[in-house]
Amino acid sequence: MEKIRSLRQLEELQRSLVSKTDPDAPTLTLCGGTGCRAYGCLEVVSAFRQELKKHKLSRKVAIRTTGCHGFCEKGPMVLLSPQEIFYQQVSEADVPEIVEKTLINGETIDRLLYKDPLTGQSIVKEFDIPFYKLQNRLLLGTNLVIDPTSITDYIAQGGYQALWKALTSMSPEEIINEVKRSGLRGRGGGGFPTGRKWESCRKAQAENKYIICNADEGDPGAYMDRSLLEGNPHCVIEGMVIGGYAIGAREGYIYVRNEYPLAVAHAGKALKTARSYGFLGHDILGTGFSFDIKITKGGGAFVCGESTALMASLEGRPGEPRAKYIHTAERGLFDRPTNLNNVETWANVPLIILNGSSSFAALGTDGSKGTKIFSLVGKINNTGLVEVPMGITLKEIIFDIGGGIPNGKRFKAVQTGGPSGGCIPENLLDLRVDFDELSKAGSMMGSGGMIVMDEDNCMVDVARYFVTFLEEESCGKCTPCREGLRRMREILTRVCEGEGTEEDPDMLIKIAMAMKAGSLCDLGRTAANPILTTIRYFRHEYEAHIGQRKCPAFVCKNLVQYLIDPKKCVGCQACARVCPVPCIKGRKKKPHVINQARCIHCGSCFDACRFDAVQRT
Amino acid sequence: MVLKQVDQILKHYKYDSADIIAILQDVQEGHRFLPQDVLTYIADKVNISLSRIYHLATFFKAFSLEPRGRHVLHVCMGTACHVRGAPRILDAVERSLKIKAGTTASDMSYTLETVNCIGACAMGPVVVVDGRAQGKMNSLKAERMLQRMKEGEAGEAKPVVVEKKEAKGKVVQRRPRKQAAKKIEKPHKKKKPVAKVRARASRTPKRPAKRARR
Amino acid sequence: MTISLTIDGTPIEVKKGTTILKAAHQLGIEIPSLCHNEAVEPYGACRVCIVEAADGKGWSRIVTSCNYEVFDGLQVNTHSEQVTDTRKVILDLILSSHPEAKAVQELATRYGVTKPSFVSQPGDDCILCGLCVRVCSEVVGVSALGFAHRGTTRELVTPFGEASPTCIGCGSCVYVCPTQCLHITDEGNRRILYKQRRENVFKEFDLLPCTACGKPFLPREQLAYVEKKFDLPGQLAQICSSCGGRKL
Repeated sequence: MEKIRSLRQLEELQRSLVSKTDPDAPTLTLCGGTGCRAYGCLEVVSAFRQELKKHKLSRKVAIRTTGCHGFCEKGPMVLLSPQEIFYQQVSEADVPEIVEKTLINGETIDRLLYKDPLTGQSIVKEFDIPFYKLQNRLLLGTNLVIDPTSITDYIAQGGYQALWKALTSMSPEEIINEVKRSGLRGRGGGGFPTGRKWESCRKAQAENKYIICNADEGDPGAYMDRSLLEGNPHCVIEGMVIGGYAIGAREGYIYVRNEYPLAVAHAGKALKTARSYGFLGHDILGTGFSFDIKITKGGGAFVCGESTALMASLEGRPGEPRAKYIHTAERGLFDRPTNLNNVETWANVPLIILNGSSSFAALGTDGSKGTKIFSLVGKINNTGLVEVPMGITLKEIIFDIGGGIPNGKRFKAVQTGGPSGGCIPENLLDLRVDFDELSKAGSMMGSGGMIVMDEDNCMVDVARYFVTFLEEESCGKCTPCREGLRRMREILTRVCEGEGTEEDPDMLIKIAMAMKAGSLCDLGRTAANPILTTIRYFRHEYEAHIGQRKCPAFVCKNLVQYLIDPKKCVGCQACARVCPVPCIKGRKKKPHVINQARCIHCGSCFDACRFDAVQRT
Repeated sequence: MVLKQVDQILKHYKYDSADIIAILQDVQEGHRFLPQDVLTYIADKVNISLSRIYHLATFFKAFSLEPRGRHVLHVCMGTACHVRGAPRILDAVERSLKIKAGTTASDMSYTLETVNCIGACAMGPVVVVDGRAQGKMNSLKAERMLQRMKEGEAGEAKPVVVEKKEAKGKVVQRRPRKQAAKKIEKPHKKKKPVAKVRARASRTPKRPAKRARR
Repeated sequence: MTISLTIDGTPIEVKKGTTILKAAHQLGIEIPSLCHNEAVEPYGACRVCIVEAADGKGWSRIVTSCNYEVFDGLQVNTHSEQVTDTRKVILDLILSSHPEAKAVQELATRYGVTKPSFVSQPGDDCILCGLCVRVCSEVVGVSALGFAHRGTTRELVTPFGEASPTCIGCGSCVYVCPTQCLHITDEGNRRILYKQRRENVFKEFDLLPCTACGKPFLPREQLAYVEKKFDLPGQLAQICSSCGGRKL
């Protein structure tokens, strides 16, 4: 492969790639992200290959496996072009019918089409589906049209032209000013203005500087970065090379979570091909600028998402944060000036350089520009990744795009910002989503996780969940975080088991304030946010647990009793068969009874009963 | 793993102490855990204190100092899976395998661990069996899956394609109130409407009650 | 280059790079701490030494005085309401987990925490301050002990819970431990280093005898360490301190 050395070469390559593509040629695009792979999408791809071969269509119909499309609830999904037909939840068994009816005969198969949950109406085209229609997919949109293992797909979409523009027609200061003007703020959780961060690192005097892409996406329920790195690794690489040039670094790292093997594989391949094309490595694009990137995997520690802990891990030390009184922009990795940004932040850079800062700044609010990818998960109909302009309301995300709560349940809360964030109740659904508004409500944007909860979720249990998570993930170095989380977990466990006291909420707040003020790093400083917001907005649930020893959502095992309604029980014995103790007795076809003294409140009987005879009180 | 293979790994990373975590990851991949003698050897070759290596090996969840079972199960305890009922699934798996999360069965058959989010939230709750994710889990499905594994029927666990008709897992999904009742399938049995079951029961002669199967 | 700041209203000038804690000591102002020692780098783990730092222009922040470098115009308050409240909770938390550690009891009492708010299993005085680990690594240079695990399972150990191959039995860790949970004792011709309880042995040493009086006094590992450090192989006399010290 001859390296690209001029804009003309790059543009000619792009033109020739585009000319080879016939927009009217039939193509099957399948989502090949981790989520859909777990659904079996690769088996569906194989089935299509076989079926096309059978019908001698292999040369006429192309199959493209892409990165994550974002509509994860409906995978495996197939998009048929040029008709733009979207089929959802496709299994291997559906493949012959799709080939025969749709590809050959031009008919749509209604049962595979998306159905509007309210009207029941079938929607044929992908971009008519409200989930996609209401989004603004500047970043994720590219996932749908490129094979992430193909650099030529990326180039055909205009890839690496921003890099060319930056290296040949802009000075580092101009690039930094452009990023500043765009208003881009860190997408990893801190929300710090990216341009200012780059500027302070540029100003630091040192021979060696580093840039880091933080892909240690530890917030449970958030997988935006995984999808970007799996689905379009080149846009992240391009952003990093531009950043390296602007800051004056020659080396960069992509630090990926250990739990993301596909992202590691795709990013690794992308680095190799980028080098072979001359977009990375020695003398990039013939400009004399040399910069290279190394991939490192995390070791399974949430705390390594914190920048100084990540750097410690890159230095071969345990992921213990250090005080940031001296910023990492001055002294970071190996004590050198280091600029660390999140995956999504880097991915936005080529767009800003190519299209200009004003087009980026045209979206969003005064304080939060551009789009943000959120992972909408939990009790939601349309689970998946949504990319929306900053300033959209929570209600629009959850109900218009997300399709609302499944099974007719009532919305209770949405948790944003991961374990550092908070739970936002129903009366704040009109909140405009941006960095500052979410902070005012006691939560934060975080990396973009949005966990929706309904009436069947217990908010005290949610607080306990987060505290238990953080207790395991805390590095344990500083006392407020380590000991504070220990005691908060003990208190919440007692409350969930029906042994809470009236002093408990106040003690939780007391510890929380000490952790906020005294902890070494942001994990400790923000650890109490889930507790503080649940006490603020759902105090009545704490009071029910403490005062009445009741769990209104029937989640806390010790506070839930399972009883069999003799009027509804038909004696099918399904509950007795699954009871692990066992503690359910009854004759066949006679009402059964649960022995309350032996019952361990596991709920298996409740799951097994088909007649709604098992009641919870 | 013979020390020769360890040397190859060390050479690949140029004996750089900064790359110690990557070195340990490669060693673990080859050996399935980190043996003490290998760690002692590495400490000497890379010029890192054994204390630091031991701290690294115990700090990061990816590493195991104990040999792992033939099958490794991870129950995802991420927030999305948690709100969909992951704790009850973990309870069911622990009961079925008779081991606690973070431990290995004494016969080395299974290692059970929890993982905080693998990013497959749409199909939560998720259980990963030997690297392959099984989605839309509930305690019943988990128990059945484990039963099959124990009996050796399933062999290597296959990924679950989204089921058109969802099994009734009340933790995960309920029969939608506004939609028509979905047919619920049980293995090896045809679903009959409730009324007919009762009618048939009243017509068939009574037999002595069998002891309920456990 | 000198920096001008005030601590509790009192002005002082110090060299650039001085920490708040050092500057306070120069003024004779006491700031409590548990994990600080002049012999090693600041660690910032116990968080007891927190103070309020402000710039007089509206910015203020709670920081640890042991590792915060002063700047011109810095105003430090060592006992603001937030500092005092936070410090009390931190000491309460430490005392709750280590109710029998005398140094913690004294410090807690001095700052208004008379009894712990939470219950713990007694019998563990190790407050995970890391002084022993840092002294062994930075001063002695053998890194014989360290931490393992993380979060609330973090503990002070020797690698694999076995006798550390690099420990020389010098006792520096014992000397620097603020709660005296590390112990070193000579029993006949054996030296035993243990943590908390006699049965929790970190390492045992055979003691070489003094060539003058015959008393067992010197771990072989320590002799080898000193010989290596000063490049004097085989040249050191095995003479105990009572008999006149060793030739160096």
